[in-house]
Amino acid sequence: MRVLVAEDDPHIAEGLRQVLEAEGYRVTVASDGRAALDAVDAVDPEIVLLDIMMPALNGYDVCRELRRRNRTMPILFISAKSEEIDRVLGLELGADDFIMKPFGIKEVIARIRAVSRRCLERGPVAAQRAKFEMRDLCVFPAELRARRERQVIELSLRDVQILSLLHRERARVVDRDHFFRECWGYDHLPNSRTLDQHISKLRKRIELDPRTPEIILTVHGVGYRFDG
Amino acid sequence: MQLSRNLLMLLALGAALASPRDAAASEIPAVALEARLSTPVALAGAPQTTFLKVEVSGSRLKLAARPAVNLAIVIDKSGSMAGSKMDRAREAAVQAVSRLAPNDIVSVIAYDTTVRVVVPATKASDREVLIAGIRTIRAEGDTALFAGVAKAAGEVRKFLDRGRVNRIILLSDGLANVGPSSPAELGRLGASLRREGISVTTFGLGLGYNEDLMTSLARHSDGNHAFIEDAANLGAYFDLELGTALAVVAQDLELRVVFAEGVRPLRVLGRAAEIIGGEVVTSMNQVYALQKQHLVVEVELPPGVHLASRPVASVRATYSNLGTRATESASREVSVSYAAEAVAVERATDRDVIVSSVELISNEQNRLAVKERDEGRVDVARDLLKKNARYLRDNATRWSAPSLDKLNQSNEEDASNLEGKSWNRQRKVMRKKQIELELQQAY
Amino acid sequence: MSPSRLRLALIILTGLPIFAIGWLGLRLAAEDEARGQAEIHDVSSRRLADWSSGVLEALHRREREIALLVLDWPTQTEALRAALRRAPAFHHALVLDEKGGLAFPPATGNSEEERAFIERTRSLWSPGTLGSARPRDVAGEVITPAHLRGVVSFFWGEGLNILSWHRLPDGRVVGVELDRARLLADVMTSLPSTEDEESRTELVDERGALLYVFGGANLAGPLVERPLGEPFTGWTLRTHLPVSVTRGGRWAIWSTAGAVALVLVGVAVSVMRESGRALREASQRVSFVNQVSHELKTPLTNIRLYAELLEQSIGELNDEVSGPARAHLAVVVHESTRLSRMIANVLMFARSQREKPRLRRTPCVVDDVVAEVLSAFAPSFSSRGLKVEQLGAAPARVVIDADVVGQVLGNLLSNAEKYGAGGGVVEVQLEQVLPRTRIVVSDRGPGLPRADVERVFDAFVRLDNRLSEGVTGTGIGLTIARDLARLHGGEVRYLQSPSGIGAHFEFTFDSPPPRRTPDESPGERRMKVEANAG
Repeated sequence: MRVLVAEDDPHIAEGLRQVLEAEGYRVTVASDGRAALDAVDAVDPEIVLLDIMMPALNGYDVCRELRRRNRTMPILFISAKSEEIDRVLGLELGADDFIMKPFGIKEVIARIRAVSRRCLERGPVAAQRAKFEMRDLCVFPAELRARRERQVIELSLRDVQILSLLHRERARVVDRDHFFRECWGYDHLPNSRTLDQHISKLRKRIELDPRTPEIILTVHGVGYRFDG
Repeated sequence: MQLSRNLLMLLALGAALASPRDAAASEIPAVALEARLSTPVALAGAPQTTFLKVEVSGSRLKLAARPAVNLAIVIDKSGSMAGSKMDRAREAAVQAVSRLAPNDIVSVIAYDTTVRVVVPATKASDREVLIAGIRTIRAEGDTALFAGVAKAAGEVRKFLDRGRVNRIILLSDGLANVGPSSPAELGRLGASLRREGISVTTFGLGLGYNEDLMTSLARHSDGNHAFIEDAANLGAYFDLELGTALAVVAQDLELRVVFAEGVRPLRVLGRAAEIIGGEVVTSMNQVYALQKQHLVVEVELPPGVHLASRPVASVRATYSNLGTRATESASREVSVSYAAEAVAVERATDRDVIVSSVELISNEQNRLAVKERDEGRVDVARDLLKKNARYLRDNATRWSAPSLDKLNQSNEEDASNLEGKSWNRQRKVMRKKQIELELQQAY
Repeated sequence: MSPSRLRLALIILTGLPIFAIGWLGLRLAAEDEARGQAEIHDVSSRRLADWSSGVLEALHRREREIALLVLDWPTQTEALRAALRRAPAFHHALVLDEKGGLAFPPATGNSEEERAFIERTRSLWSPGTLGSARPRDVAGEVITPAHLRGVVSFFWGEGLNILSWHRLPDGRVVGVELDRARLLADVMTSLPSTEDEESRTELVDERGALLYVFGGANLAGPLVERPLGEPFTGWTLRTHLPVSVTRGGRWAIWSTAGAVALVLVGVAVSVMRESGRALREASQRVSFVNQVSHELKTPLTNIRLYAELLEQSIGELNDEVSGPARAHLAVVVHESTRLSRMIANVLMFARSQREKPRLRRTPCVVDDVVAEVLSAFAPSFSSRGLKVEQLGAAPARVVIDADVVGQVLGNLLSNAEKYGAGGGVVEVQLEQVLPRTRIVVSDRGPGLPRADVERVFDAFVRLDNRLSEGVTGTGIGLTIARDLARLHGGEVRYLQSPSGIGAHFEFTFDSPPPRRTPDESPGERRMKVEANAG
């Protein structure tokens, strides 16, 4: 999914980019309101994070303009002042959520996942969003969640992409390139450790015993496999 | 009437711009130069005066080579603009900005008592900011016209480039009452800007503006001037202006006429020019595609003998070709021959030069009439105009020139509107026509 | 002493000091105002000085430009004329030969304009005038005798005109008449335009006519003037002092006098007054902090975000390397969240002083909110040897402002962390009987003396120094907690424990179950913050 981050503080913007890319989003950054509007035209993001106090055009105006152009993608406002958030809600700009500064990674992730769920649920390709099972684990891609019996496991967009890929190619080895192509995108060049670390963290959450995995199996020197 | 003619002109211009580029066009110089005497054959035996017309015409604009524009829009936002005039002005400015190409540069300045640089010089691609800026302009206060133009020039200067068409459009409905406010001062400012390659086009809005200031500024900077009585037409005039501004083929043209030994320049008709000894020098800030601009010099010829011939002047135009950015020049030699029979002289007479000369002479009379009227001598002014009309009528018949007949009618009209309420409006009409004739303005 | 005499004595006893102090106060205030005025006057003059030097600098730039230009100016008349014709800033020019005779414009074959120019400047260049003046030190530039230059002003036509002269190495002197209109335009361009300035500033010429005006519409204050200086003879920049400040000064007198009177009259009720004033000062402090706190949020966001990012990347390293670093980083992360909380408190307090904050209720689960708050406290609790024991649950989906509930709970936990560190255990008890939820936070610390129970909720109160040793905070945490709880239809109460051990704070709040409505407003669509993200 494509996310636009419109934020004039370059460090916050960059931090958000890293957090969101780690989650599996393609991130575009705009440093002011006008650039944000241009970026919407250029990359057609599915989610927009919008700082309110920005040069050139503030977040309210950007939001208003996007809605005027019949852009319906979810918009999350970022703000340091709760008065501003009250205004966002008061103006009924069609904001979907908001993040108060200062925020931590967890909060950003939680909010972006919540918004992504809504996007995915109403997304066009329902077939790809259908739930599937991996042994005793039931994955709900559109909800970014998995379930084992009564236990609910939160998943990132990338987790879902990885599991979907393994499930689709079940009983076949999926090599590293395939993972990168499918789950990271062409323009991203992760080193091979990135994948291993990600899988290892994912295993900790979805495997009953991460040391003897049953869902994601390692094929040494090649990649990973799920035996359907 | 006036407007529809202008629109037709614009359409013609548009058609010219849109016509396919032919291979030969690239070799055609941007500017064509012509110089002709009203009497190429002069009567032998006596000293006499004749007219020399020097004409400069722009070639067809190559579509690919449309020059970039560096534009400043100056809006009078003084109290008198309040209401629909301000709305129209904003609307027209927004429309103008939308017409520009992303590569053009534009700034917006608003003035009342003080000057506000609403949008500093920026690429026209920043449309949102520009339009948002224009929308903030509200009418109030006095009119610091000079400062408004000075600041606008400052903005244009930021990206001053002889490869662009550098232009200020001033929109005002009033007088200048803060800072320098005489036509002479505005004229000098205009002349100074012209030397930098910046032209100021002035739009006089309604019936309250000072036409002397506005025409003086336009005349000396070689810009255009329009009298826009109804604010509703503002948009159309912006279109016309941008139409010509975008259709410039050459800039920075210097025209030098060096007269031969024994030939004496007496006066220059039309645009401002300097006479130094045996030379006349003038300049034009730009030459528009397919448009003709001319200058007429009255000269005294020395007596000659039958069948003899002698050089009169050599004319040279130097300019910068906006398409190629190269400096180019063109020159013409003019000579006269003498004949003893009046019939030969008559037969050779150049009708076109005569018509242009009559136009410009009558224009000076028209100016004089305004001056007389300004000093309260209504009768003298009316007499002048009537005489002028008669002069035009006679020449119209003699040279069968409909353009002169039209001028005759407009002088008659001027003569009957010298008093009462209609004078204010008529004066603006006259000033507009004067500058139009003098600079052969495109609209 | 009879009652009437006593009254008289009292009136005299209080009246005289009021009069005396009032008079003194007035004197002081007047002086203060004068000092303030002088300062503003000073600042305004400095600005005028800056602007004048800006104008002069523009002229000097022009002069330097001319200086370079004239060095290789053509000597031939025609070429010189052509050069002049193209120069935007020049009106006319003259050249004097080594003997001071006029070499250009030529005596014959000149234009009418040139003749007029010669006439109007004749007195300036008549032998010995031009080029013999003392060299001027232009902007610290070294002027060699070979290249003397200067400017002279003269009045002609519309007013002031300037001639810039330069002595060339070969002994000739060149004088350039600056185009007056252009000079004016240059002066205007080197001064600010309206959008940059608040106070109206005017440039007037030698006849007092306005040349250029910029700045806002403040026309009421007194004027400060400054001559532009040579060669702009008679031109003056003047600005209006900001009117609000001068009025403010006067207001200060009355407020000072009033305050003095109040203090005197208030002697009798000093105790109440004292506490009242303390509160006012406190709120002033908060309103200042409010300003600052907003500014702090951006850097704080960065600190948190990057500390957490760093924590993540260290987490990927192996434990031997990252062990100590991870511990250090945990401190940074924790302290930054604590700072976030403190800022949130201050802002909430400041805001509640101005207006009633609004709730943003969304459907969520109290257990999740509690879990998230507890997880944020986990590292610092464990570093202080505190264990959290959770009793009961609040699992229903309810419509609450999760931020507010989280903030109240955070403040209570923070209080327990500060004062109950010795007890080893913090107990969090949850209970839910819809539409209400109850959370009790108990520590095993020293607890509160009965007398202080209500005072603990007042702003900026720390009960005593013995307890506060090594304790940090703004002193408004509990105040905020109670205000927010009340805002949320509930209360924060101190419960006296039967055993007398520890402090027990009970937080109750309104938590209705969600209604199903087809048309949800944006605020209600807000999701709960998932605690187990990442």
